[in-house]
Amino acid sequence: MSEAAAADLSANCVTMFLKDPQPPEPGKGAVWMYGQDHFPAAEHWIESWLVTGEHTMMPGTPAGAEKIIHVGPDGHKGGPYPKYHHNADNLMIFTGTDPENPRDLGATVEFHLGEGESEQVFVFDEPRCIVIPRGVRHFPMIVTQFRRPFTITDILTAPTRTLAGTETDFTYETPA
Amino acid sequence: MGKYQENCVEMLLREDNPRRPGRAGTYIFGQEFKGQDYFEPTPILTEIMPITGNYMMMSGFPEEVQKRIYTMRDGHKGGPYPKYNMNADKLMIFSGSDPDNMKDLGAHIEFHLGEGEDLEIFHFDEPRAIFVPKGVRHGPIYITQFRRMLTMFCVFTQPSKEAADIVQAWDYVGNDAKIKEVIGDDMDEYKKFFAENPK
Repeated sequence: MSEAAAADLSANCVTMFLKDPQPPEPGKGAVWMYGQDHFPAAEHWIESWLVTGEHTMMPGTPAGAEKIIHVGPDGHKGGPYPKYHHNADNLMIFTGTDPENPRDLGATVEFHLGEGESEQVFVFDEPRCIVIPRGVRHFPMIVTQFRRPFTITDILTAPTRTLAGTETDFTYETPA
Repeated sequence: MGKYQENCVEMLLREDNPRRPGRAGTYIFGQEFKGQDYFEPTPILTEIMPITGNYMMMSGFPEEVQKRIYTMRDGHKGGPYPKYNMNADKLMIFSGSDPDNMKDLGAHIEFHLGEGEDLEIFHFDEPRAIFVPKGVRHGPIYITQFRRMLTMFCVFTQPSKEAADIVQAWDYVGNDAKIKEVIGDDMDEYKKFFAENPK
């Protein structure tokens, strides 16, 4: 944290960036983003969004299909493929929105962590925190049995995706 | 056992008993809380607090109300006083729950950051992130004009509260008028906020 940030607190209430694609992505609300692009002293890159229905995140593309490449506002190249963060750890926190039943996530989530013989597939329908060590491939994520919106908060221990060393595995093919 | 089998962690759900008005349980992920599915290598501590009505945090006790110090389940001493994190920066993200109107927070927030000549008071009713540098007093937070559930998400740059070295401003005197903005004049509500030791 910089000395300047500590001395002048007037800028410490930060308007986050809202990534709001039109039309909306199926099953996913707009994404709040916070990081060094929005506040110079930021120490983490954080994204938060509401899951609004069943969908698959980072499903890849079938063998032989043309690859999909997105270019973000920060120049980051991504696409619907599993990721690696080579220079940052990553926490993905899943929480429900029913205050009367906080242990209900509102859907079932299948999350793939690792690859090859080390791949671990987690299936859960209660709030969880998934810890993704740096350099470990993660995704796809499949949301089924949706009953109620829930929140995913994604925290990188780096202030930008560039510094996190995020890499997309464009070679990933959707299983037949 | 798989290499990453332990990396899907059941967080601690701290439920206040009795439940505090305006707040559901708190999900905590970090190193220090007993009963948590412990994850030693976590780099940070997080707390997720759903807000379900008008609420206040770190608001102190008015002069006419006897001060209390709470002993929390994990043994640390706390209370509704402004705080300093002497060894951690803290980010507090406020976000709403309406997927059709993401810019509506669902309530009005008044957040006090700093003290004396450096005090900043932020007012907002849209999602915001508040960055609290280490060593800077923060609180009270007053949540009023509640319309829809919102979430307060805290990220500490340390893996535990012990490592964050949290110091309470025990001498802070609550502003009775501000507190009444949140809970009105009902003394029973005062008792619910101030007379119970959260479990």
